Amino acid sequence: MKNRAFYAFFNAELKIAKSQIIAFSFLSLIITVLTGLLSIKALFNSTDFFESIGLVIWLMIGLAATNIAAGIGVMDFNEKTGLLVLSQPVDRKSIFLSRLFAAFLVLILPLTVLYLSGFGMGLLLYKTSMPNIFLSYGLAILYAFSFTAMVSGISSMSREKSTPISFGLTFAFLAVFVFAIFGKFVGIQPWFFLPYGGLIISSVMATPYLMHVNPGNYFFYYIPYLNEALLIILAYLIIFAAIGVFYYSRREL
Amino acid sequence: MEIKAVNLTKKFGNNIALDSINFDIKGRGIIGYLGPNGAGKTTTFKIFSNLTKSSAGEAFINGINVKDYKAALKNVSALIDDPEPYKEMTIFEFLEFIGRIRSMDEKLLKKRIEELGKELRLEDFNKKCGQLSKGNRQRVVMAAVLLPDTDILLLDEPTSGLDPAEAYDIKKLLKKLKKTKLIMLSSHLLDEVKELCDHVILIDKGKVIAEGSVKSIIKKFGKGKGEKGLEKAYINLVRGKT
Repeated sequence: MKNRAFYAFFNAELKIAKSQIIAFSFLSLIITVLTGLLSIKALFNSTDFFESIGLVIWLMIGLAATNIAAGIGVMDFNEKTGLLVLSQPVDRKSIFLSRLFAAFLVLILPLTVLYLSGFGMGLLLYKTSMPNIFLSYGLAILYAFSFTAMVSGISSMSREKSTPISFGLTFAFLAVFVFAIFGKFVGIQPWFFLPYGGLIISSVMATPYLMHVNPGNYFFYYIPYLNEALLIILAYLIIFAAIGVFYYSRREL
Repeated sequence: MEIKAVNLTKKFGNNIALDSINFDIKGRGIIGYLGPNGAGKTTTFKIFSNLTKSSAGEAFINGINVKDYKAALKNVSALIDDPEPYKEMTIFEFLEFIGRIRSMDEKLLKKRIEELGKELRLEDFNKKCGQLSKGNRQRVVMAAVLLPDTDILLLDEPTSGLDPAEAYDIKKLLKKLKKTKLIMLSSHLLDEVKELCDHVILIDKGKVIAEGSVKSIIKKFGKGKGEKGLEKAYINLVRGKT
């Protein structure tokens, strides 16, 4: 009973997100190609190129995860679909988690497109393979899961889908200012901030590894160590998935 | 088959939506649940279907407390407050989704979808729910409610927004279903209530103000009887002229 309901919600979420998966995968390909063209124009070397691809991936994860996860906790509460769906004898935790896992799965496709196209562009432009590609890919998947969990957790506490969307996009796009304020000006590592952990995706692709402290760089003054980044990413994943389950199970219509 | 409320109370801040209501409905048939807008009808249905929690008191379905909603809701299917199917899904996909949530056997599920398609005159099963008219959407929702074939149905204005022919189909279906099921029906259409219901519960401002067979309510509160007897009884009761 529990498993069939879980898969029913899981598949429904995949169906609902289908057009988004295609759009983000297509967008990922375009952005990677554009980054490659920009690299030629700016006379980037291979390290600069792969680091840029890493940052594109880091930004795209924020954008895609926000769009895909924003509805998870709120869709049945601000639309009239929940009146029918949530009155079924199904565990609310199971509904939330099935949707969350579906969103995880959905994000893997645009991520894979990003890595494959980045790898292809690297070979084409610099005749060199993407450094630490599997490590970076694994970290990107983990970061995507964590970002998704964060947005869905916020979504389960929100009345409207616009709240988690605003929150996720602000987190993703204004992250560099948080880095600058806390890093360069205050001198504190933003270890409390998920996108800081996500910087590891790009930094492992730079050869040699980027320094932990970069005094000349306003926006990326601190770069996390691998273990530090993993801790931040996992902490967000666990805490926000738990918050999402907690609020979703107790919400009323 | 039983639906029971024991001192059921629901508060929204300082506003009391349900004020310690009690009823115990058993057997088969259709029970009309009447009252003015804001009386607490939808809130009662929401508590019985785990969409909201009671502030105090208990609600039971076939003897199972709705706090154990996974067990209690196996016996009930509810249409509350104009629900909508997922617009991205086709009619078939949505009904299949509801059946799978309920862990229905795949063969039985396909058979039920086919049966309900004929009974409710559902149009093209491959049409996306987002493209349906209000009437067709309501019929898809009704099909989803009837799909699991539960003993108890909670129906909140099931004919609202339907044209007379569509409403006729639903009423015809309800007349058939009342022989084997216990149905709690909320409606503002008193002719519909008179036509379908055996028993009525009237609530106002979160309190039960009258309960009994349609005939006894008309006799006791109707003052004038005749064709409009139930309407008179209703007006007298909610305006406190009894």
